[in-house]
Amino acid sequence: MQFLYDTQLLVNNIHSFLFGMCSLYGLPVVLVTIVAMVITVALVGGFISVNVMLLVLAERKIAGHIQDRLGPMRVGPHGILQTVADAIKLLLKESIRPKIADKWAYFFAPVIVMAPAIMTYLIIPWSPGLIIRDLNLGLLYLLAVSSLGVIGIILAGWSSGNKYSLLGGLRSGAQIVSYEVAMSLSVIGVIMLCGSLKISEIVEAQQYCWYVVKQPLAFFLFIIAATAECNRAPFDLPEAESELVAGFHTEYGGIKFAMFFLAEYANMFVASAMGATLFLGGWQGLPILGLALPPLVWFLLKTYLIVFVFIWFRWTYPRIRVDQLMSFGWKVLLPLAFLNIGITGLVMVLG
Amino acid sequence: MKQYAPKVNFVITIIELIRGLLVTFKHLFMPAVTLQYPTQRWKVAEGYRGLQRLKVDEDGREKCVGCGLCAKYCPAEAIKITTKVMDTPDIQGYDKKVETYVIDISRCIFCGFCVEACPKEAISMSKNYEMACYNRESMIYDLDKLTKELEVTKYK
Repeated sequence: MQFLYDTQLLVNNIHSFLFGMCSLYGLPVVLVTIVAMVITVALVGGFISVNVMLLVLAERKIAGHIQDRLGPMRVGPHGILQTVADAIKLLLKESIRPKIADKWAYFFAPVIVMAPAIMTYLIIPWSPGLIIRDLNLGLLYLLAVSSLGVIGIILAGWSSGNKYSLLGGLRSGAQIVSYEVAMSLSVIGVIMLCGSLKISEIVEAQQYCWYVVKQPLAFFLFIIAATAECNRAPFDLPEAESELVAGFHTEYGGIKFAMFFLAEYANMFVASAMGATLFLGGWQGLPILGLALPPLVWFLLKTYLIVFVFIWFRWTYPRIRVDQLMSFGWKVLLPLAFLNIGITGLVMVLG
Repeated sequence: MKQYAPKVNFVITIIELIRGLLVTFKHLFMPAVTLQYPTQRWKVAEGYRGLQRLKVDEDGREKCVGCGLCAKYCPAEAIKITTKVMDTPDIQGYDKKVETYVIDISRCIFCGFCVEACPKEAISMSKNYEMACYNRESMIYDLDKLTKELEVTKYK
């Protein structure tokens, strides 16, 4: 397990090994790059699947315990294999489409929602050096790509041919767009402090002081905006079970529904990962505990802590109405985000 | 259109939101109040009125003499008794014998009037509440089903 402590070295070694192989055996660089890409995609895909299973199970068990009951207990010891059973069930279902639904839009909407959710895994810093691609504008890439999911949601709502789905899709689209503004503005405070959009530099700049200490308001705003981004309670009116049947994914069943579900949990993980990276110090560890955990473990701990906070919010708060939601996003969060930027700027200028 | 929204105090809102979170967090560590049926079953109270049982006395004969009071008192008319008069009286001197004694569980309301009405205390109500069946015919319990020992299905 020693290699986990020094992942930068590990990544450099793998790179030099791969390109050394390529020069030794005369293989074209393109081939090696493609093989590396395929392996990376497989790893990310595998991680997302396992992660979603864990998160769904965690959500159901934590929801159960908060409600003084036990959650799934039958499938596997203490219900561990519940999501596996759910996934198998969803995959074996018949893929039907309402006759009035637009055929290709109905087919592609889950894909358009899922693809940006997976694309955001490109810039997650698991460990020093263990980023798939450390883009110079990593943060901008994240904000841009996560906005693309809205298209899929609106398309799903529209193409279902169901008025309630359409309403759900439009509400969701409006909600995501409004809270994205607040999220981006809250992140600007971090960018101002760090001076760079590159994720690894942001993490390294938090070496002595995590940004949650310097920007508590921004952290607070980021968490709220992220719960609205992922369509989670208390902002989950578009997909609420008792309000709009299931909102924009009412007419979807089987694999298509599984895609929406997966995309939601993948998004939740990425939002938590970003919160952990930008505010909680990424893979930096706290020296107070005395034990030296690998940076990967610190990162996962922080991310899952924020995931737990999301789940905690869902089972504590009632759902807010869509007009209250919009007024909260524009009239409360946005001014607070501007206030945060103003205060940060002032403090930076004054020393 | 002017919206009449109530005045919201921000600080109180945030404090109350955090208090809500703490309540939920506290409940995470409280034990569950549910039972894992059917591995764990509920322990019923002492006077619980479950399925009827017809008692037998020491010689193995049913205590029921076929008077029909339970059938008369039943508010749902769930008990049906037919009796037969024998030619020769039996050991105790009774010549009336119960031929069929049928309780229709789908009609029974489990009120316990039959138990109160019986002069010989031949019928009592046990603590069995698991009588679900797949068809209507198996909800009609005749004499041997009512005197047989209850078997409880065990689950892993």
